[in-house]
Amino acid sequence: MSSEGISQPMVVSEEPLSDSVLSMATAGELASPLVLMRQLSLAISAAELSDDERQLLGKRLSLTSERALRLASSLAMATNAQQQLPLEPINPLSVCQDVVHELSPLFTAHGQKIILRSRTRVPLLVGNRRVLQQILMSFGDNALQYCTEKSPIRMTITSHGKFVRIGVRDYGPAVPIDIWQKIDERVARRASAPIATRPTTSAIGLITARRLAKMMGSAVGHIRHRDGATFYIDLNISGQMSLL
Amino acid sequence: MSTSVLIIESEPWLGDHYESILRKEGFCVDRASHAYAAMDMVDKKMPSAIVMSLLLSGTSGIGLLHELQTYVDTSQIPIVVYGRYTDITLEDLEPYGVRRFLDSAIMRPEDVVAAVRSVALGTL
Repeated sequence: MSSEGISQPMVVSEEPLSDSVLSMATAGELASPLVLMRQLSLAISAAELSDDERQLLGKRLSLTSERALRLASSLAMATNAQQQLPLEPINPLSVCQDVVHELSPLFTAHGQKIILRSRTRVPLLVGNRRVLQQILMSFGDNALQYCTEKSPIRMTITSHGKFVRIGVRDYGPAVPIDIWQKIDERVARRASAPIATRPTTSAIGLITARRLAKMMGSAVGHIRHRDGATFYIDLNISGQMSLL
Repeated sequence: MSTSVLIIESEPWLGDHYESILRKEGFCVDRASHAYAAMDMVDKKMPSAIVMSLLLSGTSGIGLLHELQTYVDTSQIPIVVYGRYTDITLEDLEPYGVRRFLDSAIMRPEDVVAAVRSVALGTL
């Protein structure tokens, strides 16, 4: 149990959502960034903009499209790869550094920050690098806008005996205890709205993260804090090095 | 004195966009990113109109609309709501003081300006 909050382990169940339902829900959820992109492109085409304003809007347009593409890629990965994923020993620190580097321009453009907190030496994990990256990107995208100037989004790597937990801590509105069940229900009834209380959080992002984690034999979950939440993935430590 | 408009939008870049187009048309614009901030702002300064999304951080937009209807003075504020809800109509929202409903999938900047002018100044 965390000293900061109450851990809510994911209820392990059969995948309740079919690919077609998930795809339809994704189409609905992609409407949000598309609406923003459309408005930004309409703004760019306005005649009275200065060069600086046009450049700023262009940057926002490109970052929004990248975020939408990440969501689409994540779904494609989760629905296409039904076969067993190739697993290998991976360095979590290097994966997290890549994710933070990749997401930093988006956070900076929103006047926010994402940082990595970890010990210098962390054990190797068993997983798939690309898939892990995708999951952490989803957590990072969802955390955007839920930090403060003094409390940036923190990606943390912590050892817990035989597994390592990689978490993304935010400072947004409270998430429900049964969030995983709620997002399944919401998507199953094709409700277009994302997670209640967090309009910029993607239910599809969390569902695909859960699917991708399961494909790696790992699990995702969340911890509720007084002032936010941590979404995490637990991965087994690689035993390869211990054999040397 | 210019007409004051309160924009309530949790997506900051969309909020920036609507603020920019309304300012360019001469409106005095305030911003709130969630329902609680919006209620605080309304308490301090009554806007001539509210432009808002139904998807807000924390309390939902419907919760805010309901709260605004609870008080005699705030229930008089004309509201423009935008969203991409296929199953919600203006008739559903009218009891909450909503005068215009814009479909964000097809609305253009001039639609926002026209809607605000219409509800705040009574011009079409």
